Amino acid sequence: MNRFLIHFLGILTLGLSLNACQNAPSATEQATQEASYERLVSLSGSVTELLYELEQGDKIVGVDVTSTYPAEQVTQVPKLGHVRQLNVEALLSLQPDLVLAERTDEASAALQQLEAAGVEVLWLDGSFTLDKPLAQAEQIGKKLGLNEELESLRKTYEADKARLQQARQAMEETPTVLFIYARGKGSLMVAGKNTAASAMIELAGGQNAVQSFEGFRALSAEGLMEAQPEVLLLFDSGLQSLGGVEGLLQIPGLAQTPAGQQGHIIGMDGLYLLGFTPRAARAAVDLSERLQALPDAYTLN
Amino acid sequence: MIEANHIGVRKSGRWILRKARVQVRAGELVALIGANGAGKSTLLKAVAGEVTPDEGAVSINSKILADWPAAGLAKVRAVLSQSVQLPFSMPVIDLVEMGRYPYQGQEPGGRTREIARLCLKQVGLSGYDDRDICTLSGGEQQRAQLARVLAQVYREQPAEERFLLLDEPTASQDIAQKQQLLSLLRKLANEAGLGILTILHDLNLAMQYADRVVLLRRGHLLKSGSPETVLTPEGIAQGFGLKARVVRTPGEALPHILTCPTAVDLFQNEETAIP
Amino acid sequence: MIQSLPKYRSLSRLLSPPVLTLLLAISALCALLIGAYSLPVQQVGLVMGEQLFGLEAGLPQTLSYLVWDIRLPRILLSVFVGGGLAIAGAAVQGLFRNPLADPALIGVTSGAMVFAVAGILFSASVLGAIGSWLGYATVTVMAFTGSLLTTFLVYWLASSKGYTSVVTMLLAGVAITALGGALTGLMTYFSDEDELRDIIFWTLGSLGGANWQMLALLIPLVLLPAFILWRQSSQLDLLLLGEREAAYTGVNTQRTKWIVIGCAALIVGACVAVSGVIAFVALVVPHLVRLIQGPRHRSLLLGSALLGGLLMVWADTAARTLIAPAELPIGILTALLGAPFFIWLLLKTKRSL
Repeated sequence: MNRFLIHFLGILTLGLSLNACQNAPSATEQATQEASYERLVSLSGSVTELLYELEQGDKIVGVDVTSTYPAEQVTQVPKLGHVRQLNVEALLSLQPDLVLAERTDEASAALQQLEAAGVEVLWLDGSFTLDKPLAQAEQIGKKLGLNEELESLRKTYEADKARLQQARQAMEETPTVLFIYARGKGSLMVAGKNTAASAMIELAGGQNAVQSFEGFRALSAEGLMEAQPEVLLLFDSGLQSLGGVEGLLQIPGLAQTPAGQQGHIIGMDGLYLLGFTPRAARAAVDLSERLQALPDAYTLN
Repeated sequence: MIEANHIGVRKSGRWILRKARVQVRAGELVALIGANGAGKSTLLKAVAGEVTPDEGAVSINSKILADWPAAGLAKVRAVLSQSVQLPFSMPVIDLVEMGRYPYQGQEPGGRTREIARLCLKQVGLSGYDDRDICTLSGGEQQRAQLARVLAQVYREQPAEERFLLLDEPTASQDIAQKQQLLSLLRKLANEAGLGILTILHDLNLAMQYADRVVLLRRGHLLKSGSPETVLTPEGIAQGFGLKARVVRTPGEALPHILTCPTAVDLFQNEETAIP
Repeated sequence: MIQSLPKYRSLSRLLSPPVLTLLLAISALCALLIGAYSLPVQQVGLVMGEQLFGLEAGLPQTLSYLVWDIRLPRILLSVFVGGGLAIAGAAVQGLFRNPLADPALIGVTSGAMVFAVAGILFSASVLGAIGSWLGYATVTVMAFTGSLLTTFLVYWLASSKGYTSVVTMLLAGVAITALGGALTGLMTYFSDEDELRDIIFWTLGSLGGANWQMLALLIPLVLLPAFILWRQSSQLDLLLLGEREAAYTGVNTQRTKWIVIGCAALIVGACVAVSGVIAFVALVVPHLVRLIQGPRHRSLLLGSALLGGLLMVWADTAARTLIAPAELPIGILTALLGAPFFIWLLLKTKRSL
């Protein structure tokens, strides 16, 4: 129970948001944008980031717990807890005229109650693709009637994508990368196919070291030997939870992998790396450059 | 009348009681005696219906035990086990009232309380109504439990014969209280017409108060009859392996039993196997 | 010379069923007025008038939804969950003759947990058709099923030749609870992040999902077994003396055991299914009522139900307002408040245990 809690708090601070499926646009968002929306609630870290990028930050009256960026501004906004454990009444008390949520949370009873209470909810679609932030920005822009802001975001993002293209071309080989999701020594998961981690690794020009299964699975020493990763990728917080690089390498099997032997270990911020936020292209560039700059990449920053 | 005939009880394949027999009539006080392990408690449990005998049968008021409905049986016979522990504290009066369970819904609550008070008075615990049962001494607790079983068979106009089955009710009473308790049982038998079957350890009490004594030895009925015919030096020697003298004091109707320091065969009771 | 029992006699009168009922009603009304969304009394009154007597107050939809569909069901849910857990706890403590017994001991909670976690994990895949048919009720239905199945398993393990041993039941309950913990742990280990989150939130307990449909299912599942339990008061009283004495007094002890375990499992199963794990209510509330009113079940069961509901109303009000706009898991709150209080009780009443 305690361990659950610790893990859980770990996740909250990670601000990880994994999205699993893509849905068709719903009728709500195709509705015309007559009303002007002045009080927004965002229930996803990447959406919050989008709102700030679209210069709508001052309209945000509440965010969920995964919203951690931009840190300075977002700490001023009331936190509503986790999207799966919402206090509907408290959310209503913020008197939002639009609530933005990820489509993957559509099954939440609390969000259904919110709609029943007459609050408009904008369901944002998207899976782990480079274009997800843009697609979501368009949905938001359409709803809020933002044209210039949307255009400028698109420009920045396209520029980032172009840089990513260059970075990938500059890469000479395709390193195999293993993403380890750590919640302390007792709980280590590795990302298989069809995960945000896998998508990001491939965007950055690497190859996911695990090809034999989908989703996350517990890490095993033998599985590690089989995967033979050249690089280990972790969240900063995950790496910390293990006691840094030294701690990580004490995990049975890890030191024996090529990555472990050469010290090819990369730590990055969770929301930045796997949130598929408007910084997704930049994050991919970042990862790509760090993959090339190995072996000195494992120094934490 | 309680009639238990040819009672045999087996435990893990061994007979711990065989061919036992006991009768209790209304208004009669019958003492069940014998050394530890002689089968007194087993016989009492068989009569009470807790243990189903492997041989023989028990009937109360001419009806086989198995044919009695639980509630009906509870109204004609009450049982007091050796030590009853309460896990929670509660007022004495509540404990006694619980004995009236078989009459639930058949008498007003006020009447139940009256009866409970009456029974408390009979066991010498008047005014103890609101005392916490857990703060009572062992002896007082035992008497409060007796009041509860009295309440269970209390009836103003009894239509059937009623019985009390008691497992060593004098345990943890002092010498004066033992006498008081037995004279209460005697009075209940005489005046209320209750038939009482009680296990007793004190042979003198059995001698003084019982109408009949049933002496068990190693699962068998050794002797049964009036106290004077059963509690003889020979009977005591056979039943308990103990040398005893039966002394008559001038001016007293009943003799006293004096046990002697030398044992006849101290360990003969160890062999509990029954042929 | 004869000291009288209840030191708490005046308290006993103060917390008599009519007074508790009144307090419960007042608390529920207060709770209806308290919330993260500050609403004037008149508006709450208007909404109630609108809904109950069909007044035309012309209030905004959000407002009447807030009062009628969010606050009110939640308050009613806390009354029934709190009352249900407490009455089931009181009855189980009586049956086991142990003031430390808790329905969790016979595996109800653990079974509900295993099945709820399975529901969270497999609702999409293995449970497929059933899962999609039940929608978000999947976890609730699974938890309820799990609690009943586990209880029957424990009961069956403890029974042989028509006799059920409560001691064996307690031991079997402990073993099954451990097994359930292991299974839950195993599934948790293989869960992904979303699932893990749902599992954790479920384990921490919440009344946040309250709605009228849920209440329509829960209320009969609590009230009916609670009434049946209450009708077993005298039998439970006698069981305090031990099974043998109860049987001598004319109680069909086997039947009583069956009824008490069955009803407690129904109540706790239903409560856990809708609210997750809410600790300590089933343990502490009956204990408290017993201290004040004595162990007779007629007043103990009723008092526990009322006090349980009363405390839960306030606990949930705290859960939804203390750290608003976020929400405190109620299971954590009851444990945080209940555990120290229980320790205090233990120290204070060491003797009577």
